[in-house]
Amino acid sequence: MAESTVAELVTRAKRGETSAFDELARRHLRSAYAVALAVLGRPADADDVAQDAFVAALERIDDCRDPARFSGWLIRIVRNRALNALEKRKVRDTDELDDHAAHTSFGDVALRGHLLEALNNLSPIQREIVLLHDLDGWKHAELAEALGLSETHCRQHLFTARRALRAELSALAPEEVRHGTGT
Amino acid sequence: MEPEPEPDRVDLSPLDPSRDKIKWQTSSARIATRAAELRKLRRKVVRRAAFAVVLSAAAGITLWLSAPKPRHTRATHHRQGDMLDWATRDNVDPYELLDLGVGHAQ
Repeated sequence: MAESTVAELVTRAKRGETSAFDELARRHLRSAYAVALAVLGRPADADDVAQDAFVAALERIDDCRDPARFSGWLIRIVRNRALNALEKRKVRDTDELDDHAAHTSFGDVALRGHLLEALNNLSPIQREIVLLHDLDGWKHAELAEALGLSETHCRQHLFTARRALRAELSALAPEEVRHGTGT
Repeated sequence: MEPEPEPDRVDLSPLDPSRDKIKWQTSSARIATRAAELRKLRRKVVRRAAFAVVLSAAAGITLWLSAPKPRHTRATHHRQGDMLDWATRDNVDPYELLDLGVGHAQ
């Protein structure tokens, strides 16, 4: 059976089909997480905010006027929630333990730490673009539409972000800088 | 079409939360369930609130229609109008008024 498009899933979700909710969450939770991580910089916080924002978005799915643009609508909600959480965190300013670390090996924890540190030195828009593109596989056209930028700008941001990341990682952990391929 | 190789790409997979498959699937399922429940609850609340508003409006109208009309209101207004009229008229003879007062005092 052919996979439903996002617009079809959103329409079904508006009718109250739980399976459509499930599928939307399965397909788009990582995007939500990437945006939350770009804002918050801490995986545990990003995980919480992404889940809460996703629940809120699905609960108000009727407000999504253009079902084909669900991703852009969703990441706006996530970004706003993440910014609110960031404000609250600044007030609280506690250094919580990253609970994801519990599921990973020591080497991974170190690499994750280096990656997060390197990401935190990028601008917010660069973090968002590099995470959505390289972690969740977004295309430049999708990024441009969702972020309200031109494709050329997205490519430039991605290029600059990757170069900065590589430089940062080479300084932090030269042996851990890995190469990859993809779209 | 073959994807274009990207030698500059940094492997961000250590940050990918879906690597922990079980936790990831549980999270997705929980989100869908919670959202569906909250949506149902919200709809129910909205429906009940709308029903309550309609019901109270109907009750208000019924009470208003069945309530006895305040009959004295019209007469009171009339009397107040007469008094005002008398007080503002200047064709009353002040001596007559004084006589009345004196006569009363006597």
